[in-house]
Amino acid sequence: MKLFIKHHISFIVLFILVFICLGFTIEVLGGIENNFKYFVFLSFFLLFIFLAIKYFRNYRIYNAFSNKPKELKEILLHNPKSALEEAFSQNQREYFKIFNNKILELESIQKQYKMFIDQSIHQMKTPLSVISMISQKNGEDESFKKVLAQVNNLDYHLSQTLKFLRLSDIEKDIQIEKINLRALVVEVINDLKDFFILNAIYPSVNIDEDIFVFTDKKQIKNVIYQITNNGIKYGRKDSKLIFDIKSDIGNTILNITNDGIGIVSSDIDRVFDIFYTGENGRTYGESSGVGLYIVKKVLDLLSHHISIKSIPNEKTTFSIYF
Amino acid sequence: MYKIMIIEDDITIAESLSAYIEKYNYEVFIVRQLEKIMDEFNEYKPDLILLDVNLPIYDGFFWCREIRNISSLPIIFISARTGDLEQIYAMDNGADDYIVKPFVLDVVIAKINANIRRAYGDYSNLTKERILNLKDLSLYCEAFILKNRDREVRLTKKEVELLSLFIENHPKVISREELLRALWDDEMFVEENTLNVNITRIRKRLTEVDARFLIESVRGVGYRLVEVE
Repeated sequence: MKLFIKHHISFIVLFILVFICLGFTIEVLGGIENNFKYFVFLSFFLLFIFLAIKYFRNYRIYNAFSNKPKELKEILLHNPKSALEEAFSQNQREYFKIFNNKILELESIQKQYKMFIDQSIHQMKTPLSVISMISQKNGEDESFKKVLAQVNNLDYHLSQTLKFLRLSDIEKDIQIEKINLRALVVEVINDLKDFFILNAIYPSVNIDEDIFVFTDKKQIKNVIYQITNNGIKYGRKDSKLIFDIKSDIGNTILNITNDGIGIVSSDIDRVFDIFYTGENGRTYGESSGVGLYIVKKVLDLLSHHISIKSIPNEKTTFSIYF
Repeated sequence: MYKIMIIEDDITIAESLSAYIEKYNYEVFIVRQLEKIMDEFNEYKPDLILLDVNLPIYDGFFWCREIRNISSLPIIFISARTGDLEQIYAMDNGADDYIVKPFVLDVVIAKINANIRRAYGDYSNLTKERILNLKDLSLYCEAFILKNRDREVRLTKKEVELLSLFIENHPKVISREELLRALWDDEMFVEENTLNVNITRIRKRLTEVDARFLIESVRGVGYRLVEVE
């Protein structure tokens, strides 16, 4: 009620002005009959001034209502003039505080979750090392060989989880440098040596020594590692995994081609979606639907394009455009 | 014999590591009193240290700095953390190398060997010709020579790698994977026929020296060295 009166007090002022002050003046000047046009003109003039003042005192609030907000902080109204603006601003500030507290609370919970998962993954690595070591020592035993393979699988998924956790922090520490592509690919292949041998897949690198690209070494290594890992996992026994380069206008394209089960065309557009495992995931039951999601996210951050071409049961090529 | 000290709070890891390293002619000491690392260090006087990062009371970085104050021996970190930052931090605190859990035992041995070699420059102990004997057959791993009584033949590096595996593990079957791992070259990798080609070559070498051994293939598993009656 108080605010309503405050907001409408100017109406009352206008009415008093027009009907009493103006009326009185006109009366003094010689009666309403002779000065009717003058009266109309003056009252409209006063109305116009009144609206103009009203607008200048309140336009912030109208703007706030009619513009689509982009950020939460736009909810705040700066330098309120009128009583309504003042009240509105006060009110929004309270909302802002509530939202902010909510967000901070959620952020801190999420941070705790992240820390907890990070911590427990690292804790798991110690028992994993023990199992791995025992299996390595009993390398001749068939059962231990299977245990070791499963340990490696577990380690892969744990690393995958860590990579996913760090995805939101990548942006902060991207470092673009000049990278020798061949050296990088060779590094990835050697990291995956055991996986290559175990699956009887043979790497073949057709990349010249003098090919360089500008990118973040650590992140692009993760990307190539993931694609290579998939290439081996879904490759045919005794086949080759081929790494080669195509040069487009100003673009270096790294192609990674495997000979294997391929990806059906209905799945191709969706393989980068999170948790999407598609037909191969259903058949093999081992994919988590996270690997290629991370690949795409990282490549987006580095602004490298990626494309896939696949002929089911024949071959698949992943192309990274640097 | 070089002395290695293991500082690791997980006793299973420490003991398994120790058992494996001892096979490679090192003396190993596991620190049991993790609050008295410096005392243990001064008493045992190791030549190399394997140091875990997560330790009770003080972490590995702290102990590394402490040890660095009085010694420049090689220190290898063993940690579950794969991040670059941790590795940089370890190196900044005076570490010589860094191994990530879960590790491959052969990698640990290779890193220990490399660091010992670099620190003590003592090649005599390590480059002493490794000679593998099996009945009349002798394989000179450094000279790349295979000898059988008075006959001898020169081998390639890959042939030595394979033959030493066969001789060391005689008469066990060696899996294709293991053989391929031995053949894997960090620059050229392996190809489909790398193994077949090398097996054929070794068979030829064995006949060249008139050896009483031959290589038999075991379907679906791998190969083994067998004695001819």
